[in-house]
Amino acid sequence: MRLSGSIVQYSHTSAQWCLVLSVTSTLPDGFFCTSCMSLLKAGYRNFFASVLAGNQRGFAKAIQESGIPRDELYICGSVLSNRAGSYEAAYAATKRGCAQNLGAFAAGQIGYLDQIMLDYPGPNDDAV
Amino acid sequence: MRYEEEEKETCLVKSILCGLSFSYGCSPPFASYVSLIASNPHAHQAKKPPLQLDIASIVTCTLSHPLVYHLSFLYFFISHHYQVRGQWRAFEEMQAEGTVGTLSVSNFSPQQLDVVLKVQVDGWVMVADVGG
Repeated sequence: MRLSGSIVQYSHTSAQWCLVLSVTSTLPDGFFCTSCMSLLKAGYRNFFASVLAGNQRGFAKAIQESGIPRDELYICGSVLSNRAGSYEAAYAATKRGCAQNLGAFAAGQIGYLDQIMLDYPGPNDDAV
Repeated sequence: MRYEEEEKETCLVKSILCGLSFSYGCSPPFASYVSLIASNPHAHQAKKPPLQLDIASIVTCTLSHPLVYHLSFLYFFISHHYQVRGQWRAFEEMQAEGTVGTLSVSNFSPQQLDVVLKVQVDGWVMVADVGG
């Protein structure tokens, strides 16, 4: 597991510092859930759970087990639909990606994302 | 007309015809053959040997022509434009459903960001890792 974190100032009412964490893991959900619990206890509240890392389900379970109120967290998911070759294919792939995110986060009763990210644009990037 | 000038003009006409034919769905070799006949119908009467169907020179000449270049650029722009629009449409629908607050992109080039900004309905686009 690779952890990389950075601290940014968050325009919160209490002017608190917010920890931003980007996590990449190929480990099982259970192991990642335990690790993520430790990070939550350490104060991390801003998470980017990428579909590429495959850690969304384990992360969601950790959120649920932590008991931290949802409004104290900022959660970002991601969609990978850059292989689509047409308008309709890109639309369909992105819709599936959105549904997969919500399905994975539902493992921790998370039904709302603060942000979702298109990881990559379509295939003809260089030609634009 | 000197042969070099004639050849230059032939190449120009050939490029235009090839580009137009290509844009209408003809394959480049076929389009080149058509344009070769159209641009030099009396080649057999010339003192110099008639123009040969040199694929490499035709392709080079065609691709370097401004008309073809712009047609190709337009084709790729439109095709990619539609893909980004497809991706973004799904994102905006998710936002409209109320399951996500903010939409963002990563690894998009400035040109691709322009596409998003043009088609987005409203709101903000958050950007991470602007691509080449």
